[in-house]
Amino acid sequence: MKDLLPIIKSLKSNYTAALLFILQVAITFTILVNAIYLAFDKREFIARASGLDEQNVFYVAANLPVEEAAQPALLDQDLANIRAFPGVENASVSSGIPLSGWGRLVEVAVNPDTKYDTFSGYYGGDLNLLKAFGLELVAGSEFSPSAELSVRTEGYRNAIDIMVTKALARSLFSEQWEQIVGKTIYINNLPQRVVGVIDTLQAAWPSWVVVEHAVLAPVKEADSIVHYVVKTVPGQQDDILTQTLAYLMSLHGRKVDNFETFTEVKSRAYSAENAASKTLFGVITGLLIVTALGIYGQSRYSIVKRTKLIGIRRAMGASRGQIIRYFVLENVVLCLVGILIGVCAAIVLNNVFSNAFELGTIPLSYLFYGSICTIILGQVAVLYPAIRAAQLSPAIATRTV
Amino acid sequence: MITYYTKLAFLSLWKTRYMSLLAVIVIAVGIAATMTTYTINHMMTKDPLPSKSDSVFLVRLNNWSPEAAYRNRNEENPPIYMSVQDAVNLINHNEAQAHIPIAGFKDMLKLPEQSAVDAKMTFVRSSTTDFFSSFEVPFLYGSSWPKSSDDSGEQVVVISKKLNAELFDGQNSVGRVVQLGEHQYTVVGVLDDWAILPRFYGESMRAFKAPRDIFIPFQTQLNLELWSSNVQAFECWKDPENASVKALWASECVWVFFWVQLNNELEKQEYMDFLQSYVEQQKALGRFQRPTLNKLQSPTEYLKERRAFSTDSEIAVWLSICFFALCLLNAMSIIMTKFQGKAGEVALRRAVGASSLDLVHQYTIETGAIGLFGGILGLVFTQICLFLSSQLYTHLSKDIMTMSGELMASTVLLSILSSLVFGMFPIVKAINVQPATQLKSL
Repeated sequence: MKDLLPIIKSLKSNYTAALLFILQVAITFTILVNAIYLAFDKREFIARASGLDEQNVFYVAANLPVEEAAQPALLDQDLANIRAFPGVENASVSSGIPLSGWGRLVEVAVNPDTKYDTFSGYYGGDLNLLKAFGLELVAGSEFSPSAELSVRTEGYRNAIDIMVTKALARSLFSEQWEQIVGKTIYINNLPQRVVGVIDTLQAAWPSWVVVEHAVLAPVKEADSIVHYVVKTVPGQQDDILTQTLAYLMSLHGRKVDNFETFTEVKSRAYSAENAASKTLFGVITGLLIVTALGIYGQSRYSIVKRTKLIGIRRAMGASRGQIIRYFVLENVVLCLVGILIGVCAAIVLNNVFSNAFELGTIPLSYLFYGSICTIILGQVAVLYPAIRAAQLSPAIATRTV
Repeated sequence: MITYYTKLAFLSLWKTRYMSLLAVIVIAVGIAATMTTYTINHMMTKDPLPSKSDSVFLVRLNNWSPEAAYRNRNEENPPIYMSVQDAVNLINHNEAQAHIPIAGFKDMLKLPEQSAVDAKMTFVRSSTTDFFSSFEVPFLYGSSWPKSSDDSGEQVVVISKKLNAELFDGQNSVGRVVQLGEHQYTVVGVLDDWAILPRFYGESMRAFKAPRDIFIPFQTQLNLELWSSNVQAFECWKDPENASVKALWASECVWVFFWVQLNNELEKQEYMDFLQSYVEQQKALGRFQRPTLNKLQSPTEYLKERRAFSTDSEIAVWLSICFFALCLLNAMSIIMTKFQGKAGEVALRRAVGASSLDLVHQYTIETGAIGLFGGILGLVFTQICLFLSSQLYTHLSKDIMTMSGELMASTVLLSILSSLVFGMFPIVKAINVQPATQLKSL
């Protein structure tokens, strides 16, 4: 520590280089902390659970190429046949697919006379939809078989029994959310009875404010295009998808509109966030490389400039360790000043961002870990030049006086 | 003299080639980061139709339920799309320069001679011939359909260059026939390469996707009752009378985006007046029972309201500008190191009579050259980054990842300018040496 005073004194005599160094560290720190925060923010957004058994669910959208009156029967027949494939855990039909952008929204109210308390996504299917999605029930019970209905479109108007997600129950009844079971709530102003609460089920639109709100009803819709949802045993998804498509196409007039595994749905839903977070990680990598290069170059330069000085110190009896310690300590001092400025700048930048772009504020832990990373980066970059400096022979001092 | 200084500058660059190269690379990386993010952001937020941005408007009418405002918002806003009957009425009144309804459906597309197995599910855009003239759509073969086809609902199509290549091997296909679902259509025009970004006229969710590949007259869709409920977003406050498509056409369900072209403020005013009288006339017929709330919205206003622009790209630009500043500081310290070694040379030249201004000249050329090379290399890096982005950003149209000539020129200019500015300090520092003391140590 007794090196500290000479370090500060020597910085004063060479302030421009020191200032440049400090500025670089400050800017690096500012971008680093903000970029990492943004990247993790995106990652968290992407990692939200959809509630589904994501690895094992796929859907196929196809038409029902028969007379309108015969469509419900064909729907049931299709479902029965798909369920019969070995390896299929469950199959159902759904009026929407989570995160796919395709679904329906409903208004939810606790009282009949309020227009709405909140909004929610809506899924209508047969009794198996809960299992075909792979959802978890946290309160209440499953639908009774008598609750199942079959309609042509807009099943939410006909539903009698429904299930809601925990998030929706919470937004209506806050902490007493379990009490929602057995209560009648109003979906688009129509009274419906809640029989169960689902742990998590996301609505069809990933960036929707109330994406965690969903209503599930046992109402099949035999529309012109239906979406079959199939859950398979792990590892058999590809085979079963091929089988299902082959089976569906075997009927004359059948059109398969679209098919996707849920993993694909999810990666499509979050493609923007995914790309953004990858770009941010790219920026972070570039940043670290450029800064490390900069620190390395500058330390090397300042050491070359002080060759004679190092030689004299060595000749006067300074050990190699002392020389290394000197430069390492100098680096730490400069980094700390840079970080100090960087912390202020990062907070300012984050404030500007959060005001302009509706972002959250950076938690203090990010600043802390960011500081540690920056110091480590500085140390790594200075180590080689410092070791080289320590290798200098004391005789160098005598050569060019 | 300039040529001599240039020669000296390049000699000096060569003498310190590793350091110069490092400075060039550092500047190039900074430039690439900034320009990549800037290009993407610029392409996403630019004016999609610069020559028409003040003369194309989305028409919004408030035909919603007497009981509740559209989407139950506190601040009432008319629906973004309108009902078929209003679209047809507004076209028939013919009060604007151009009427562009944006509707569509999807169906199986094939050539008549192909078998049903080869048919492909295709999204069809239906509009009027005004679509092509107002949005300045370029044609490769043929032209848009005549106005008479709009009125009669003739079965004609305009197809994109891409689709023409798929179906007809890129030949001039005007006069050929394609089959969409159960109906046959005659090709009247083939579009040239056309990208409109952001594609403001339809759903804002898809503003950064390519336009559809096949276009038919709006009236044809209405006449043939072509409707795909799972393609077109539609909202109803009152159910159609029955489940038929005809009833949907006659209902209050909204789903048609309706754009008009109005060339000046006066025409806009007149059209507002016309809309007012139209709504009053409809009120007399028992429709439009909410407060009148007519709106003409420009493409940019519409996209802003729908929040089509992601703020991510803007944040990225700001971050990369900071990154660029960092790279410049880095380059500055490299240049400083370079010039530090020149103290002896400076002293010698000063001693034999060069003025400090001469030296500034020479060193400015040197840093300028670093900036120039940095800019050129940066441009190469930018193209690589844009290519990588186009692979990564699969949800955006590839056309976003292209740079205009102007942008390229300004990239190089930016690089030269910034390196000159940031090189100034090292230069001043370098020439401020005392000739006498330096000469002594030579």
